[in-house]
Amino acid sequence: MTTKSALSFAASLLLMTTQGFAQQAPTDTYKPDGYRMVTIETPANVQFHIAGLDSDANGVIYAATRLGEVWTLKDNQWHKFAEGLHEPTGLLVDDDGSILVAQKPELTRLRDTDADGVADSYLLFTSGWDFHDNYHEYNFGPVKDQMGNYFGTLNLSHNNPGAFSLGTMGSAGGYRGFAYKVDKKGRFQPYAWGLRSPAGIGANSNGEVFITDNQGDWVPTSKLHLLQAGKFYGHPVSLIDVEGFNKDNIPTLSLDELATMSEKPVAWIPHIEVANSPGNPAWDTSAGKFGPFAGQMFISDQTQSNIFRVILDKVNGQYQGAVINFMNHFQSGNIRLNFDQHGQLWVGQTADGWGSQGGKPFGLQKVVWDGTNPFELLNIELTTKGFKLTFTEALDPNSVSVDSIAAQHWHYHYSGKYGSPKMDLAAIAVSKVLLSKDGKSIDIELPLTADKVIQIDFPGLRDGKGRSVSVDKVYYTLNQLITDK
Amino acid sequence: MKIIIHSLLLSLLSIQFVMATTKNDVKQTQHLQLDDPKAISQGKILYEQACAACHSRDLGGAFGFNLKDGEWIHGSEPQQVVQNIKKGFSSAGMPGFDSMFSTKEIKSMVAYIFSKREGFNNLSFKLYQMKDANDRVISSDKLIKSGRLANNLADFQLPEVQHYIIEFEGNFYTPKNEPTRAWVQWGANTNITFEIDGEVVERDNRFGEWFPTWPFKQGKQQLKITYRSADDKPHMKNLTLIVTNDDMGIKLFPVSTRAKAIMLGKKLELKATSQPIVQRVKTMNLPTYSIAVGFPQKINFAFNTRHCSVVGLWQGDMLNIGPNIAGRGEDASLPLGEWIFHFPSSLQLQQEQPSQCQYLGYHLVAGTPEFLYKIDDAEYHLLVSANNNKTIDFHYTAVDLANSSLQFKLPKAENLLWTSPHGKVTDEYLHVTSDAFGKFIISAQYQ
Repeated sequence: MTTKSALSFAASLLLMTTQGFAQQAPTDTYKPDGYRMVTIETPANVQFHIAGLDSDANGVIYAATRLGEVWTLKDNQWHKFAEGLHEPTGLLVDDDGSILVAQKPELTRLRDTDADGVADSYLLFTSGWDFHDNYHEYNFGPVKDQMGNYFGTLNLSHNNPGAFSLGTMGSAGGYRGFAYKVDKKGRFQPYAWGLRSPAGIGANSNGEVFITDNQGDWVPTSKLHLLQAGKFYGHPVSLIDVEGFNKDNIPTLSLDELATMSEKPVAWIPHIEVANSPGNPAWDTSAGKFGPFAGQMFISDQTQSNIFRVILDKVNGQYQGAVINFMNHFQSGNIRLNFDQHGQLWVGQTADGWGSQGGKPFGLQKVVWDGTNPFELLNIELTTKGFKLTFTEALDPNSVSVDSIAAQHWHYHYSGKYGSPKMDLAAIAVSKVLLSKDGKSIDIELPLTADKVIQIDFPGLRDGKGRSVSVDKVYYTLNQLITDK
Repeated sequence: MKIIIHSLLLSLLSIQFVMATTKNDVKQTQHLQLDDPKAISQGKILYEQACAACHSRDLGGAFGFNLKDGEWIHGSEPQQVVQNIKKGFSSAGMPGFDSMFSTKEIKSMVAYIFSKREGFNNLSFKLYQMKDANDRVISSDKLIKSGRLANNLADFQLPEVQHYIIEFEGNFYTPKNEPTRAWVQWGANTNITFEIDGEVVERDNRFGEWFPTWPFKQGKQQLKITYRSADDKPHMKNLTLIVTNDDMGIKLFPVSTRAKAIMLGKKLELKATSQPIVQRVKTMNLPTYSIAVGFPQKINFAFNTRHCSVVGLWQGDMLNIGPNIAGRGEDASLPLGEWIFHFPSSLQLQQEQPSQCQYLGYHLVAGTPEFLYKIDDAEYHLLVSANNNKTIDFHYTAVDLANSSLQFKLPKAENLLWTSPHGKVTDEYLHVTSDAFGKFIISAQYQ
């Protein structure tokens, strides 16, 4: 980037900042070099709204549909494995080959006991929560940790006159708005609470469980949390099932009291710009089969029909991190992700009832990598004076300057209102940019303020081949500064 | 839009039926009142046997068109419909019925069809261009367009001006036997009024500000709907206007063109053909946690996993699950047939002490679910078989309870006979003794 164009870029950013920088979705198509999406034909004349997706060790795909069916895809052939389920919104291929499916009223273990390719055993695994026939009372999950425990999340209700509500979402009791844990024997345990519409849950290879929650009342923008026992994640309605709280004293809790009780998210996910309705996290464990982002977390979004990456940073022993868009313009609402054994990223889709940028009501696509190394931001980590940004290719030194980087920060207002604008949005000056010896990283210095989301824009950077990145902005959630170095 | 389509198969069935009715010696008469209860009753029987397979039992349309909405292309007058049934539409697959049915029988069918009429008839509209968003005064000089709407649906996309008031007016039909409401989806801030027989109807926000409704009279009425665009954005002006039952649990039929498009998605019928169907879904009149099972013999039941009991039995086809799928799937699925009994009536094991029910799951046995559950640590299995659309057998196994006495509370239902080769019925109870393997059968026969 020339000095002139960099100044122009900085000036335009400043203009946008002073005008309020309205939240809007990227209008362009973003896709790293070497990646393409493949559309999978779903069974004819079947409303194939996928809301549960997993694959087994042989690469067989299992998809649960909102109509209550489970289908397998093997050798490009679809086969109906199970049916009659109550709007499942999660599915796990368990280690013994059985299928755990998250029906609204229960977790059910499906088995094909006579090996004819069709499930004939639908045994209850757990149903320790209450379901009240409200459409919004989804049951998401399960995922499994290294100890063999299972985890799931339970949506609040919507438009349920019998539920306790503070205006929008509600709970008629029975652990709505909770995450739950189930041990190997199916024993249910309410695990954490304060959730609204936690449509995404995933476990990494260390057994750590992460959840996403959708923007709305008490959720200023969509977010990613590390799931931990006994924690409160912000939506007060679920407190109705927590000892010491009731429908009389919950409304008296002040915003400050609730905010103090609440866990900070690992990452705020900027509304519309990145996601409106994020689904489950999936980790690239393919050790390079999917390109340079091995080990990273990918999340899809139903409304934006996109996929974004999450770059985790452990600061003072706690996770915080950044989100960055990965690919957009999928055909429908991306609600489920799964990496198969070949390192292909499968995308289960449904849009009915909410709509999505992709116009189709449902479908299945996958993202595959052709071996081309893209030029993209690979990693971002907090330093004592700013951030270290690492790219997938060495940078052209001529494109690296203070003027080629722009930054701004803001925070969100936690309240019962539906979402929050960016509060106290302000540009922040980058004072120094230093290119690493291998040319792949830059250290940038800028003023750091805790409890802010920092957006860093880098459209002017080029790699040695003259390529620009397909996504030129990253959003880092700065819960805390480094104190132990 | 409707023409009446008939398949060859149905024609054969109809011929059989004509033979049957001839035996009944139905006399022909030339004069028939549309509101004659006897004619309507006779017409219902004829319709269900001769027409329902193509036009649906609820007249809502299947292979053939919807027969109860306001859209008619071959004439909406009763006599025209009589002629259409007599002559048929061979090019559309529907034969003429004049050689199969008497004129009186056909008229009775028409009486029944018109008794089920829903929505507008003779719908007209008037469009006024207003000065600005705040202009509320209608005057003749502001009238820019008016006319009839042949499909009898309020079309809120007619206006091409920014600020307007549009009036829709016509005869309006709602079910005679149940209260209904108009509902405007996302209508909290919609400037709309309803006048029924000249009286303004108050907006009713009992379901919440965002679910405004206006109660209808039952049967035929004169309805006038007035909508003022005010500051509404373009997408807000195309209103979704639907008639619901009194508690809004069932979306009955559309009033506006947009609503019709939405309602089309609210029909997805599950019908067991070659083997039983199991479907777990929110269902009207069944408690939460119910699992419905439909048999090809046209009889269905529901098992509840929290009560460990049979909580519903109905004849006919299984379920329309469309309401639970369309949009966000808020609404309950609807049984397609007639209830024999439903919750709170149930077939349930009686215990001397309050009992703890623990549902375990089910296995499929030749496609039929065998439910497994425990009550107070005793394990039970229930496998149900249907003999025909009137008789159904409940095969119980009380595991580890051989030769044991058990008592069941029987559901209240008219014309339902309960028997058991393993016990006897006393009032509302059935006393059974399990055999050496813990097995016993309870049979229900609908008279």
